[in-house]
Amino acid sequence: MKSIKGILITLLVLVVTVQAHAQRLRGTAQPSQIRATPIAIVPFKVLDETVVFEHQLDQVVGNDLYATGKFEPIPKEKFLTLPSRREEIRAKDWRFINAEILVYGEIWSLGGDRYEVQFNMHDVARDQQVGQTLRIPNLTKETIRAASHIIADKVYEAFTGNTGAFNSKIAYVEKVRVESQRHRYKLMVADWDGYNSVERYASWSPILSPDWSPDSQDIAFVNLTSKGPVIKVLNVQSGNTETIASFKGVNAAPSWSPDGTKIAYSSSRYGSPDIFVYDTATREHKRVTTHYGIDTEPSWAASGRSLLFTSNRSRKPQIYRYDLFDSSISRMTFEGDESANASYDPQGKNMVMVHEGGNIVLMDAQSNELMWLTRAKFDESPSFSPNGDMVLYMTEQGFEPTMIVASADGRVRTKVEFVQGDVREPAWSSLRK
Amino acid sequence: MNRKIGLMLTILMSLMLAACAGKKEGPVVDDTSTTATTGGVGDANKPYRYSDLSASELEALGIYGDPLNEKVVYFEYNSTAIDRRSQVILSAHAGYLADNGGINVSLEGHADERGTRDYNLALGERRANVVSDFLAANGSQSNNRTISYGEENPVDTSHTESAWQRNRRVEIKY
Repeated sequence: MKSIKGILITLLVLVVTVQAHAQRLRGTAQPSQIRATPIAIVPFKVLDETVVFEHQLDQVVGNDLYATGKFEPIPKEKFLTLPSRREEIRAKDWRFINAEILVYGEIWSLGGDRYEVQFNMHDVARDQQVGQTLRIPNLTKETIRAASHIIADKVYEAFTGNTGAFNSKIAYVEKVRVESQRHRYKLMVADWDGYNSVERYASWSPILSPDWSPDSQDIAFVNLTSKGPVIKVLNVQSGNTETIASFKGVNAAPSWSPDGTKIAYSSSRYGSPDIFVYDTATREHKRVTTHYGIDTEPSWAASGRSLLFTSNRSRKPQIYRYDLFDSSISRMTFEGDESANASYDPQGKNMVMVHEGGNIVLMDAQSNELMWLTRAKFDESPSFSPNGDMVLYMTEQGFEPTMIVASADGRVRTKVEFVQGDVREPAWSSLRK
Repeated sequence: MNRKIGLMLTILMSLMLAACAGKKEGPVVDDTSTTATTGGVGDANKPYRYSDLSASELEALGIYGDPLNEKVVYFEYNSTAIDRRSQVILSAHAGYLADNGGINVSLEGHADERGTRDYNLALGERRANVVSDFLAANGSQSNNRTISYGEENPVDTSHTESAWQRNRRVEIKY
């Protein structure tokens, strides 16, 4: 890690330049056109040639990096050589195909079902190794794919200065038809790219609005019961659930505070839906809005000081912000007929929301300028990656529900390919600790 | 779009209209028949016991037969206003439920797929509540229970205006 930080400093000029450029373009109506860095990820050399792995690690690393919009993986058919060690690298081979970053390495067999991945990053322009050789030990055939996400995080961190998000998880709801009129709703957890999906909770009635706790241990969600919509908290590891809000009327839209001590939600227990804050330690519920309109979809600012929420107090749904210190409420969105389901990125620079009923739109928190990530009609449920560089959301392609990750600069959109079926309500976890 | 009308104003107007309609002719109480669907009043201009309208007036509103047989009322987009057709249907139910007190009625509110899911949970609840209030204001002696399904239980999953119309509804169950 230290060596990576050293390299960070040498790359500081480059990073600062790129970020300044990004800032200038952010908030404009069109996606930015900053060039993605061409990167060559050499297929990792499997030292024991009798071993066959299900997944190509280089492919997974490339998919990860591509999704951020900051990297452009070069197709491996173009590679002139396939080095796996430092002494095999000839910089001109990589300059020839315009690669600026080279990633290469080896997979060692340690006997039995035990493997280790060793990999390196190389700055082609300087013909210099970036940092030291990194090792990912204790892998099996089953778990080796996850090594790709670790590699992608390291590359991402070394060359962008931002924290990688490829080891985070996503949660989503899958609706499965059991009989003609009966459906099973499953709360699923998967790797960020949809692989490794596991059912963590299931119900015969709808599940919606999953939201991860900041330590990624728990998921709060809404479950429609015979009593109406209630809020439950699922411990992902144990599978245990606890109902935290089952008041009269609708209990909906849970949102964990950044410090994990509170859950904001919407409840209509006093007639019209208002925002409440539940304290996970004292188990007390505090009402924070009192309007006769619909107040729902609270979401915390990273500071924990304020909550965004959706309200129709001006007739149509718009985004408002509640300040927890002085209890003031200010309207955040004015453009267009409707805005809903807003949340801040972890840096508080942008908020993402559903605009006009089905476009995913970013709003610059400083300038209030809007950037359309999508212009579809039915896009919904946006959530930021834990590093704020990507947005996960639902769309529909050819009548199929489709989960998409878009880079927050609007340049790149990738399908979350391993997620299939009637899925909805994706939610990105915090960074795994 | 009906949303332009203020919500509260709309509810008030609906209630006032219904109250006026109710004053013309009170509920018929001389018939002890418990069959919900029969008119039995013998008046051709007023064939159904719990409605003041003639068959043709009902048909003009898209109600064919006894309004008491209609168990679903529909709404405009993002609206909780009760339209004329719904008023006639709900007035009939209110009349029946006034004559037959203590019935448990479940009012299930739904929204179309447009708008966010959590918002639609709130919207579905508002629709169910408005229907519950309308029934009560028109003399229903039922025990109403409202529940919202938001956009989670559509009757038609296609992305068309007609599907959305059918999905924006309150189902009256008793």
